This record gives sequence, C-alpha cells and structure tokens, in this order.
Amino acid sequence: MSRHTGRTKLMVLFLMIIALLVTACGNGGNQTGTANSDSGNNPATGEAGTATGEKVKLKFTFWGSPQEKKAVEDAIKAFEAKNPNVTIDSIHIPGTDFLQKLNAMIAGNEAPDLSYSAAWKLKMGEEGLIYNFFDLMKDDPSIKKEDYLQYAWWNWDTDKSAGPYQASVVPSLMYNADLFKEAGVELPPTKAEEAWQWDEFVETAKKLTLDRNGKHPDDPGFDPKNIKQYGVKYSLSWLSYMPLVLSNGGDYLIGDGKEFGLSKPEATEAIQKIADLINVHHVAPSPVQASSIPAPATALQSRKVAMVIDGSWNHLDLSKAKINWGVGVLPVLKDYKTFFLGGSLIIFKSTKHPKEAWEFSKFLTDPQNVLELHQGLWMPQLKQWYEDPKLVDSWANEELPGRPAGFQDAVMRSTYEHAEPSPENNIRNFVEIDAAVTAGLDQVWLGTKTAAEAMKEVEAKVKPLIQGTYLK
Amino acid sequence: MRTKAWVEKGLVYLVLMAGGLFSLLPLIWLIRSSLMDMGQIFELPPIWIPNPFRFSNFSEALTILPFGRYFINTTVIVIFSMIGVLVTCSISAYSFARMSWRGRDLIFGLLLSSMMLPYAVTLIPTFIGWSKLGLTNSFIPLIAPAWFGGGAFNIFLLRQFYLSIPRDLDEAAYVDGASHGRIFISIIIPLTRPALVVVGLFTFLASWNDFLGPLVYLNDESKYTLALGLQQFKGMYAAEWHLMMAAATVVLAPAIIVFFIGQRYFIEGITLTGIKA
Amino acid sequence: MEPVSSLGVQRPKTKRNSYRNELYGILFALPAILGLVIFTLGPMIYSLYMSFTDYSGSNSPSFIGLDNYTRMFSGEDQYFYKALGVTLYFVVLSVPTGIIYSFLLAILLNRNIKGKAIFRTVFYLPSIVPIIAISFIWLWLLNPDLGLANELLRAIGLPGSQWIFGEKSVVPSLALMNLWTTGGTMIIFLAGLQDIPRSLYEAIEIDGGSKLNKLRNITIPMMTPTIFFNLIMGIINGFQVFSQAYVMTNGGPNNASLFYVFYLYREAFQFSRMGSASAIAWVLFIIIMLLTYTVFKTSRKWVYYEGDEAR
Repeated sequence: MSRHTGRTKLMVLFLMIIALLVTACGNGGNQTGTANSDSGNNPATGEAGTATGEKVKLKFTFWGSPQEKKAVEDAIKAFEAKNPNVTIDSIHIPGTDFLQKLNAMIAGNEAPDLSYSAAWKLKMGEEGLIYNFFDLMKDDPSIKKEDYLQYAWWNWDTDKSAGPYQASVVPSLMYNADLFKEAGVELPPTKAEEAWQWDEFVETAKKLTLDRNGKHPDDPGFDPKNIKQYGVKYSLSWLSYMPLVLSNGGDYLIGDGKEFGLSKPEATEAIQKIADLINVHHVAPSPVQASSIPAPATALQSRKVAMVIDGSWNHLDLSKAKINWGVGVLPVLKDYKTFFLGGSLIIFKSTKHPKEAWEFSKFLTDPQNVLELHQGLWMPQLKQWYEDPKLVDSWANEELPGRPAGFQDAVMRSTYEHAEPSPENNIRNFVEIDAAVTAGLDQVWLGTKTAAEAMKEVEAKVKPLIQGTYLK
Repeated sequence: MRTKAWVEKGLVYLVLMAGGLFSLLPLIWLIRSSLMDMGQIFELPPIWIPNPFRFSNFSEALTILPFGRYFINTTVIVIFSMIGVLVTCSISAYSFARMSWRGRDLIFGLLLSSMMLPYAVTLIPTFIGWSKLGLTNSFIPLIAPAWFGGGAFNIFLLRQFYLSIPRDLDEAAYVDGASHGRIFISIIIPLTRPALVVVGLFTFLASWNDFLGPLVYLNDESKYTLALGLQQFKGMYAAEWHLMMAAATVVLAPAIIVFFIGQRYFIEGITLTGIKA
Repeated sequence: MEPVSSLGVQRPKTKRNSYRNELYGILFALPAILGLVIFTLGPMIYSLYMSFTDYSGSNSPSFIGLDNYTRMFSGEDQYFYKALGVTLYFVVLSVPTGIIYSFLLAILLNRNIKGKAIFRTVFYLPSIVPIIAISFIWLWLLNPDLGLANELLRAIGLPGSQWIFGEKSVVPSLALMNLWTTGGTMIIFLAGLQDIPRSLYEAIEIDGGSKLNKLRNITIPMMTPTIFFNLIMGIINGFQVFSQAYVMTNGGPNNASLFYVFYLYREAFQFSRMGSASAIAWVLFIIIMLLTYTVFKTSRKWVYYEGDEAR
C-alpha cells in the first residue's frame, strides 16, 4: 500500500515542479520534447499496404555512421513517398549510448514504434516489450522463414522471434595492396579452400611488419617497441576471434550449450595464437598500441597496418579512402568457418500502429530499398540474393567501388558456404557472459596471462550465467 | 645568512615552477596537438611547435559533427540554469540570512548536509520521476533544479555574503516600513553584486562542464550538449588525436575565456567556501 | 557557524505581524525548501523503496525484500566488491596526495613572492576544464606509445608505464590526473593560511623558533579545520568518480577501473536494473556517511578549533 502512495506523492511533487517551471520561465526556448510537429498537408491517398487513410506517425530509432544515417533517411523518404499517410520521425542515436537511451525512452513511456536493435533485444522479448516476429509473419505471406539465411534469426524462444537480420555483415580480412607489392609478398588468397594456414599467415604478417629502421620481426636488432607498420591489426572482439575458435573445432559454448567452451583446449589454442601475434611475433598491435591506431580504413590508408581483420562494414569507408585495397579469406587453423551477424528491427508492443510499423520494417529489410547500403556497408540476409546471379550482380558486382576484386569469393561465397551461427544471436544471456569474457581476455592480449589460465578463471564467473543456446 | 635566504628562495621558486609546469604542460600539449597533422603528431621524439600550423583541424572537427547545434543546446541550458540559480538562490539565501521563522535553522542544516549527499543516490529516482512525466530527452531535467535553490552550495555562499553586510542599513529601512522585498531588491542586491557574479560563474561552469546529466537525460542527437558531442567524437575518431584535441579545445575554450574574464570573482568565491565550513 | 538572528530592531510587535513575518520568511525560502523536498528528500525515500524491489524502469516494481542487498554482499553479483575495492583504492591514493600537494603549493605561495597572482591562476586553471576535455587530454598524455608522459620519463632515463592500460597502473594514473585538478583545494588552503594571525608567528620568532617550528606548532594546527574540510570533501568526491571511467577506460582493463558510480550507472542504465542500482546507491550513501562520521569522530583529537583553549 505504502508503495503506491509513495509513487503518487512523487508524481505530485514532479507535477508541482513543472507547473512552477512553466510559470517561472514562460517562453523557455526550445526545450520541449520532439513530439508535436505533425506535418499535415499531404492529402492521404491511402494506398500501398496501409489499410486506412488516417495519418500515422511512427517513431523510429537507429544508429550508424554519417553515411548510413543518410542512406537510411533516404530510404525513409522513399517509404513516405510510397505511403503518403505515414510519416517517420527518425531519431539517430550514437551506437555507444544506444541501449541506455532506448531504456530511458521506454521508462518514460516514450518508446519508439520500431528500432534498430542488438543482442539486448532478446531480454526485451522475454519481458514482453516487443512483438513476436513470428506472430506478425503469420498474417503476411510475403515473408517466409526459409527465404532467410539459416542463422539470421534473433529468437528468444523456439517460437518467439525478434526478427531476422535486417542486413548482414561478416568478419573480413582487408588489406592495403600497395604494402604487399612493396614487400614483394603475394596477396591473400580469396578462396576458402586456399585459405592461409596459420603459420603461412604469421610468416606473411612478419614480412609486412616494419620497425623504425625498416627491420622485420625475425631480423637481428628488430625493435618491437618502435614498430612503424604492423602486419595485421586483429580486432580483439568475439567478431574476430570466434572464426578462428570455430575453425579449430572449438565453440563459445559446448555440450548442447550447457558448458562454457572458450576454456577448452581447442578454443584457448586459437585465442592464444592471436595473442601470440601481439606478444610473441610482434606483428600485431596490443590493445595499448592499438590506442594510437585509427579506425581500419584510416589505418590501412596511413600505412600503420598492412592487413586488418574486422567487420565488413569497413568496406564502405575503404571505398571512400581512395586506396588500393582488397579483401581475402580469413586464416584458418583447421576448417574454414565463419558467420553472418547483424541487427534486426524490433517493433514495440506499445505502438499504436503495428500495421504501419510492420510495413516499414519490411520496407527497410528489403535489400532492394536500401540497395546503396548493400553495395558497401551491408550484405543481404536473403538466400536468393546469394544465389540468383542477377541479384548478386546488383550488390556484389566487383566493379562497384565498395566491392573490390575477389569480393564474391573472399567475402560473399566463403561466408555463405561456411556459415555457423554467430554467438551473439545464438547464446542465451550473451551480453553478460561476453562482458566477463572480454574483461578476462584483456589480460591475454596484454600478455599477463595465457589464454588457458584466463579462460579458466572466466569459466567460474560465467557458470551461473550460462543458459544454453537459441539456434544450434 | 644571505646565501641561505637566496637558496631558500630559489628552492621555493623551483617547486612553484615545477607545479606550474605540471599545470600548464597538459594544456600546452593539447593546443600543440590540435594544430598538427597526423604525421607530425606521431613523430618521435615529439616536436613541440607545429609546422605548419594546421588550423584546418578545427574546421574539420567542427564540420564532422553538428557542433554548432551542440553549442546552442549547451548555451540554452547554461543560461536558463544561471537565471534560475541567481533568482531563487538569492531569495532563499536572504531568508536564511535575514528573516526569522520557525524551522529555519533545521532546514538550513538539512540543506548544508545535502551538500554531502552523493548525487548517485538521487540520480536514479530523479531520473525515473522525470521519465514518468515524459520529460526526459528535454532540457527541463537539466534546468529545473536550478530553479529550486540550485544546490545548497550557492545558497550557503550567498548567505555568507549577506551576513557580512552591516545590519544598520536594512534595519533603518525596515523601521521606516520597507517590506522585505524592497529591502532585498534595493539594498541587499546592489551591495552583493560581486557575490552574484561569483554564483553566476560557478553555475556557468558547473552547467557547461556537466557530463553525467546530459548523458542520462538527453537521447536525441539533435539535443546533445558539447560534452556529449565530444564523447561521441571519441567513438568515431579514435586515435585521430589531432582532431580529438581540436574538438576538445573548442569545448574547453569558452570555460577558459569565462574564467579569465571573471578570475577575481572565482578566487574570491573559492576562498569563501573554505572559511567557516 | 555564527548565530543568525533576525533583524534586531522591530516595528511595533503584534501577533499578526509576527505571523506575517513567519509567512514571508518561509515564502522567501520556498525555492530552497521545495528543492530540498523534490530533489533530495523525496528521491532518497523513493530510492530506498526501490532498493527493495525488482524494477526495470518499465515494469511495475515488485517487492523482493532484501534480495538486492544480499545479492551484492553475498558476492553473487561479482562486480560489487571489485567496484568497492577499486574506488577505495582510488580514494586512499588521491585524497592524501591531493591534500599534501595543494597544501605544499599553498604554503609556498603564501610567502612573499613575486608573481603570486600568476602562480595562483596557473594552479587553479586546470580545475575549470570540463571533465570530458580533461579525460581527452589525459587519454592522449598517457598514451603509452606516443604520449607526453612516457616521452618525458624516457627522456630522464626511466622506463615508461602502461598507464591506463595496465591493470596495476590504471588507478594510480587516474589519481595523478586528479592531482592536476586540485587547484580549488589549493586556493582554500591559501585563504586559510592568510587568516592565521601574524601575532602567533611573532611569538615564536621572539622565542627564536625555526621555520620548521612555525610550521609544526602554528601553521599546521591552525590549518587543521581547513584540512579537515578538504579531507571530507575529498572523500565524498573520490567516491563519486564516474566520467573518467566512462570516457577513458570503460571500467577496464579487466575491471581494474570499475569505479563504484560507473558500476551503478551500468546496472541502472544499461542492464535496466533500477532496483538493484538503488540498493547500490544506498550502500554508497551509507559507506560515505560512516566514513564521514569516523573522520568527524577522530577530528576531536586533531582538529583545532579557535576558542578551544579557553575551555
């Protein structure tokens, strides 16, 4: 009982502030919310998908680089042109603060109608905040589960889904071809069957690593403290180490997802290999050294690194950097294994216009409508776009600036044919498990612990968090 | 004896110089880095004077993100906070200094002890309160507290000033039948203008420099303040130190300018804080 | 605190008049009173209530008794003790160094030296820099490869440090950074020093006492109230470090800079556990109160108050 009155009292107090504030500072400038700016002069024609002619306004939150922001806004315009009765109020929120800002909106009953989303969406699904995509799909024959990549689903239960990837990205090896030429080294292979074995990869990286005096790591007098050009920059997140762990036969979780897999020998061996690039072979920057290396495209352009293993979204920046760049397949330990990853569009239960939100989510998820983004930043999530030559040509043509020579083999086919589920949408409770793993791995990259030691410690911490998998 | 005094004096200056260097070097390094290109910045051993001076870093940093928008947002918040604090703090402080009413000392004691309360304790409930009112993602949560006494510290400071004004002045007016409002406006305010400047300056700085408040309350990028904009910059241009330093300089410059304009008041204000705490 | 009396001379006293005076008094103080209730007392009570609930900010809070607290103290929440340890370590490092450093500068500045005003300005300058800009500047200074700090160390033949990238060095690095912004403390000390009556020093001079004697027997005892004030404020501020961790280290490496308020922030705004975050906040409140209380208690032994000798 007291619970309730406490809250009411607080509400009254807050109302009092507002009343006072309004009287105190009269025309207090532009500090009110975004809400009321209904642009109301297009006559509703009520066609294309939306049932009623009534005016509808959707609030949509998203993140992304300036280019992505622009492309998404263009797509929104196109959607609005096709559906004149719908206006999209798009709110761009920087990725680093996204979840926190979204939480704030939800707490304030200001949740958007739909939103970009990352792994945290599954918790929102469990809490009943968002629509089950499978329910929405039932009434719409245009969306079929089997059209999508096998693992492109964000499900929080067997029959409950936060939707398929809205678009995909993959782990990718990118390089500056000029640096290979200067070192007289052959370019990275582009076919999965010909992928570098780990030792070949290390040897190549050594040839591409130069200290201040132009010496390579195996040369006498090499100065590992003053490296001018690193052979490779390995992004040190699960995005980059998981393909190698999978390649070695390990996995994030094992035993039907009931046991922590990263502490097993297959996984720690792979992780240790990456750490050795830094601390033994001196061909890759440590987290410390990486702090003075810019984002991948700039790093390749400014010759700070010769190769980068990071997300394929960097292709867009690379295409704008005007350098002689290329892509190769990832190095392997045993089999070639990798994964697609991506976000999905979630529709909030609080929306008053689920139908229009659904139409918009379909629109934005259809590669055709955001084709420009699929020619550099993203990759499609629909199987057909990997199989139908005409469709493939529309986004993966190697004449496109964002698609260098070898792209179809090195990025598209190698991933499409060797895809496993990404840990992010497969593992339950991934956000919290990964927080502990990432903290533990800090020590491995810094060379203060071996991968086996660090993961053993992490295992104890994450044990209570492990709750199985969603997809496989 | 003379030489001993000399050595001692020299030592004093040496320590002071070292301290001064420690204070200034980071700022010099900031400005130096903000005027270089990436090549110069990575040079070892480091060069001190940029050659050539690259002022384009500023225009580049300022165009990447809508810093103009952030500047306006920050200014709006700062100005409304300052007005709020000046109006409500001075009135309340007057009451605590010059009027007598039951419970006054208790309330003042509570106010003083609230200075020791960690903001983290009230952060979450206040946030939830604002969000239930649908006022997050607006400037109101950042400005409103200023209109309610704006923090015990300012009231405390002004009260100290008011107490230092001889009572004869307002007592004479009081006996002549002037109301408290009249006394406050025509006697106390003119006499304590410097104090109001001090409070205004402190409020400016606190509001300009605030990071957690905007971080918690502002969602939409178009409502961001400079501090949030700078943080965003870090995510996008990691390791491009020349641009990061240029952006940081832009955020810092107004604070420094205001400091130099009101320097005398600042020192005075801080001095008052420590006395009779 | 000196006694505050209302205006001594009064107009003819009537009951109505004194009621009116009371009313005006409260009216004038109303902004502060409301502020106290709305932004301090109300939220504290609400926060205490929330700390006994499971509340995400969007669901309706359900009462779970002491669960949030037991989860913290039992170690089930693996970050609580870590955050507490990190923060205590920071306080232990930063508070004494900050006080000693600014006290030293203040004593030197209090002598008859040239350029006093300039030095004072220079020492104070860093403390007006926005925390986000401070974080940027020091992120760059402390960069292990290219930063000025390691460059200077190398120049005098010392090995560089990993600074904020080392698990062991991250908290000391942030304490060093804190030292940079202690100008305000220095000015408070300076004001205190200027308040010490000359006559006390003269008495010692007549007895032929040395400078050290003066420092030990007059300056430090007379300054104890100011030291006490700065100590309390230092502890309170030290426990509330947030932005540095958020901007510079994100709590890492390996949670070595998981400051308490950062941990609280993460719990509340990223993991949406408002109930648990409120419990974390209340524990912080109690810790600070206990520490302050302890310092107050011991202050009887070492803080000198004017007028004490009369008793």
